[in-house]
Amino acid sequence: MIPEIGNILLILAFSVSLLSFISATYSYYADIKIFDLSKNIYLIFTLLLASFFILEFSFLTDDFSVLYVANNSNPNLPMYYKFSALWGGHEGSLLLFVLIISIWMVVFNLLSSYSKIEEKNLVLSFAHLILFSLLGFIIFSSNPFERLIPIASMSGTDLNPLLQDFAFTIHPPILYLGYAGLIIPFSLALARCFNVSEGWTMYIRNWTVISWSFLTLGIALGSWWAYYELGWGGWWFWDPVENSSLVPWLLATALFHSAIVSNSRKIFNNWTIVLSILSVIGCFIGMFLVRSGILTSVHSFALDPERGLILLLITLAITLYSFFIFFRSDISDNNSLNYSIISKEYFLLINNLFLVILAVIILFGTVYPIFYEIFSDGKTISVGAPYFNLVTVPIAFFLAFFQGYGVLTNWGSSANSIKSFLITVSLMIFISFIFSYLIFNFLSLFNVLGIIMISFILSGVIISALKTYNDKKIFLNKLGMNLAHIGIAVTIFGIGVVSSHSNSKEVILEIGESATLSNYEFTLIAEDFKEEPNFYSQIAIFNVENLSNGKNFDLKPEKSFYPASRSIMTESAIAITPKEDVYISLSERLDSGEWIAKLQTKPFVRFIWLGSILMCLGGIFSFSRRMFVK
Amino acid sequence: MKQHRKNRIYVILFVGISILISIFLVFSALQENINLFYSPTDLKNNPPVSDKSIRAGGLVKENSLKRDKDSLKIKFEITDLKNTISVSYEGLLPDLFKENKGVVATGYFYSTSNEFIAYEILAKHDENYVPKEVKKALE
Repeated sequence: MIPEIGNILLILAFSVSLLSFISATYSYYADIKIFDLSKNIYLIFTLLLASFFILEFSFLTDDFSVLYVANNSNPNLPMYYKFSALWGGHEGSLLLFVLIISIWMVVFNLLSSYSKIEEKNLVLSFAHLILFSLLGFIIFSSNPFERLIPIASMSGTDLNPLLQDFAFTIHPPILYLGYAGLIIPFSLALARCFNVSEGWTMYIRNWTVISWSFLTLGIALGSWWAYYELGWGGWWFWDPVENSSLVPWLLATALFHSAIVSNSRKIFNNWTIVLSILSVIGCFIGMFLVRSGILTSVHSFALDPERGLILLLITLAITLYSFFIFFRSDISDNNSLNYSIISKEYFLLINNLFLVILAVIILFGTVYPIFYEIFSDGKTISVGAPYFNLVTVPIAFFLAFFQGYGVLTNWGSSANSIKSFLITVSLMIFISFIFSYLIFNFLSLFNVLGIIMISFILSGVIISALKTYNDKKIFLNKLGMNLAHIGIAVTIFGIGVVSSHSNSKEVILEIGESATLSNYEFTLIAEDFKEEPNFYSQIAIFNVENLSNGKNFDLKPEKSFYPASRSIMTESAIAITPKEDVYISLSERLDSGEWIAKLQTKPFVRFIWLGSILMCLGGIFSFSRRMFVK
Repeated sequence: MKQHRKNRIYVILFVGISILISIFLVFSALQENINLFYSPTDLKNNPPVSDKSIRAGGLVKENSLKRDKDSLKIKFEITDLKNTISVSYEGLLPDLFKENKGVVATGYFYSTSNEFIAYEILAKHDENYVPKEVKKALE
């Protein structure tokens, strides 16, 4: 009975959302005064929240008559994972996604003020368009409340063991906060096409920045999770799912930079609108690629071609609708503006150019196998990671190159600080070379590129901070940006070092035997076994000695077996030292009693995620300062 | 005004050149880094002509897995139930690598010895999941 209530609440939310869209559009065209539709969103939010908790209730009470619960949970699963199992599959994660969309709509409604209520109605109506499309999709083809008829299973299949993990419990909600947040700038941009221009550039900028912050954190969490949970120490695989999150991230990055120009200079207006639309379409294309099963990926949602088709149709409909509205609009730029070639306008243009090119070539590499199969009579291919590395690194290099001086330029025309910038850059490159050489002994071409990128970015930040230090207001205005830019440099540092200075070795050891890697000696000292309610593990205990200072510690990697889903998991063991991660993962135990294991050192790998956290904090700071400090 | 027009030309040139360079980058990188998929039957009938790496997939043949003593060298056979190829590989096997289960190997094929030297072995995380290509190869 209770799950049926959840289903009815979903249908109610769908109806209210659809009606809000229709009445806002109608009242705008017919020019009829209408009551404040923005209050509807509180009702929708309440309905979705209730529906969410009803599904949670089914999970926590092991109600396996609900098909989705039966497929994604198990009585022996710890309570904590029963809770997060809700978003472990296609239907539940979609429910979480629409709930988060409604949260953003509530927050937007609370934080923005419009002098005319019709205008606010119109902005929210475009968010309703997406909300009811997805709600319809859930109700008609991905219903999480569907019953398992006739006989309910007694035990449930189990949550995929890879997802029984802390990072997984927070990764999807945070990522979805990022994706769903982009719907606000999308709505603002479409409303702008209907002449709702009150504060639109500032709003687009702020709402993109805050969504971008969550998107950054969400992607970083996914990368961190893959690093320790997939078991083999990689932090980015150019997997279609990862690419599907990177494309909207790049577009959103371009978007708020473009919105900054639109806001201050009243130019790039049409471009800002196009990017707002493209960011959301990018999310939808990603959703289609991930959930239709058209591409082979580590994130295999239940594959269902019918769902894929519906998602594709929704994506196409939203694309056509948005561009139809855009092409009918007539938004002009401030044409009387003069700016020289070394101005902030041009630097941000370059930033947008390179970010969009990056997004396009990553998307191209991701979907290329689909088109290849169609046009080559069914031959299938895969595009390897080297493609992505080869095309993204040079463009990222130029991006950083222009980013460094870009932050020092002013609107209109100015070539200030160019001397001090060049001096700082040269100094930084010189110092970094000496330091890197002292620490790592050798430098690859990749490291040299990395050093140049970091020096350019940091020099810009340092000079900008020094110049504005005396004026507290300007300093704080720029603090968010500077933090985020430092974050990018930190991430580049992590990527550069870990890509070329990691060590790895695959070994076969019996108890008592040792192997040496870099300056560590790994000794397999014992074996152990443990039993948990929903899985059991074989444990190999290693003693690791640092040969340069004689310190030693134990690492206990595990091989776990989950009977409910009959799956095997590799639980790596990682020791974090100031310089690097020492990483052991077990492959298998041979009949002879020997263990096959992979030993690795990963220098400065944590800087990759530390940088992302800085970017996220910078974004949140920038958003809060502009929203709340008047 | 003249300066303005000049700037516009610079910008168009810059954008044009960047896009051209990117397209060139994309296509030269694609040339080198796509891996065609072959089933054992494909490998028998139309072996690859170039020396580029390819992917081969099917089921791991029962009782075909042989492990070298004291090294990580492995040999096994991939079958699509019509034809079989033998695969050599040195390294760790994924957790879901099992006999009679689907597998995709990336590496180089030597048609003279009918042997596939793999540098990467993939088996998917979900045990009920069969890679799309493997499913097709078995039909």
